[in-house]
This record gives sequence, structure tokens and C-alpha cells, in this order.
Amino acid sequence: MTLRSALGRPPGSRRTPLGHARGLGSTGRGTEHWYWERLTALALTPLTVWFVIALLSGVGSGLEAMQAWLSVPGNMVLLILLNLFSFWHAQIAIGVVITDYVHHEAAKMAGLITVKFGCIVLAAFATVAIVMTGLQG
Amino acid sequence: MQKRKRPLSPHLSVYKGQISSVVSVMQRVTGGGLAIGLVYFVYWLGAAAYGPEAYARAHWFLTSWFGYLSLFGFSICLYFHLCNGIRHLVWDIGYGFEIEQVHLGGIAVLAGTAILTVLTWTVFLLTGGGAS
Repeated sequence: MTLRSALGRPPGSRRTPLGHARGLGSTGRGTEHWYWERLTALALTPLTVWFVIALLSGVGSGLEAMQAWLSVPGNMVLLILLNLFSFWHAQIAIGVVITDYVHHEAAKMAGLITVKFGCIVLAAFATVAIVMTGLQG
Repeated sequence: MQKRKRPLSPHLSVYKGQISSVVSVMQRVTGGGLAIGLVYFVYWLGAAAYGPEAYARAHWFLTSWFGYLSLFGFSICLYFHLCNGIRHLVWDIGYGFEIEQVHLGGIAVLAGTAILTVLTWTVFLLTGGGAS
């Protein structure tokens, strides 16, 4: 990986500001992560409020209550979305923390890969669990 | 590779804590708390899918004193991260950068977290508890 100046374009550069910004950032992805972190945050705002209200109305009181709750297609979809957006958001955010504090290149890559795979596995498992629970309701 | 002298990030430890910096650090801390909360979330869902015995074990754990303590912690993390996240989104669309607004916003986040946490657990206790 070549090191490029993040402090501005070199004097006399003929590249556009956008062309220069592309590929920067500690993971080389420019603003892409920043954008998706915000987009998932926007989606998670109403979803988490919905989830807390559901918990308070007793969906966690027992297995039957949970199965009945998830047997409603709308609830199943919203919980799957909450799950996916949460892990998507977490995976970006933990990645940002790693790139901020882990400076050893190999350790940084290992950390980022572990977090990404871990989030994908947990999100997939939770999605299947939500569907299976709902189908038993 | 030749090391060029770059401006360093400020060393946080030399600064006296201010509402702006403390709330900013807390955003990461609460995010970390919520990441642990996600593991609980997946465990709870997985237990429900695996059947009555697994669910009973998860339910016992989540309604134990340690389970409730965790959930209480997650609720604080969630409301803080949610309120401050909205504050960040407001900044992202270009508002609220004056120092007074930054301080007021920080206080609003702390107040919002306290109010929403107390409200949630009051409702929980008054309705007899949704459990987990």
C-alpha cells in the first residue's frame, strides 16, 4: 500500500480534489464507511425505539409470547432489519476504533477481518433464529 | 521509510474533562457496551429458536440479578448512544457547531439519557415487567 498525503493535495497537483480524496482513510475507503455508519444510524433510531416498546409490552415474558410476536410478518421483518442494521453499524464502528488505536498493520488487518466475519456470522445466525422462532408461533 | 514530522493528535490525558469531550468519549464507550448487548440479543434469539429448554436457560440468565444489571446497563448505553447519535446526525447536516450549542446539546444528551432510562424502568416495574 502506498502512503499518500492526507493533508491536502501536493502543490501543483493536476488531480481534482475528489480524485485526490478517493482511496484515502486508514482503510483506504475514503468516506464510504462514514456514510454507511450514518445511514444505518438513521435506520436504527426508529427501530430501537420500536424494539424497546415491544420488550416493555411483554414479548420477552415467555417463549410463546415471543413466538406469537414474531409470527406477525411485520414484526419479523422489523426485527431482522434491527439485527442487520445493528451488526452493520457495529462492524463499521468497531473497525473505526481498531484503525484509530491499532497501529501495527498486521494486527489491524487481523482485527478488522475478525470483527467483520464475527458480525456476519452473528447476524446470519440471529436472522435464522428470528425466522425459525416466528414460524413456530 | 523516512518519517516526516506530522502534527500529533492531542493526548487526551493532558486535558481537563469538559462536557464536550466527556460526551464524545462516552459515545465510544456506550457503543462498546451495545456491542456486548448484541451478543446477549443473539443469545436470546438463538435460545428461542433452539426450543423450550434452551429458552428457559436464557430466560433464567436474563432475569437473574446479573441479567437485569446487564440490561439496565445496556438501556443506559442505548439511550446515550441514541441521543448523542441524533446530535451527531444534526452536526452532519451542518447545525449546532457554536460552543454554546455544543454544551447545551451535551447536557441535553445526559438529561435525555437519564429521563428515558428512568422512564423505561418505571414502565417496566409498573406493568409487572415484560421480563428480559
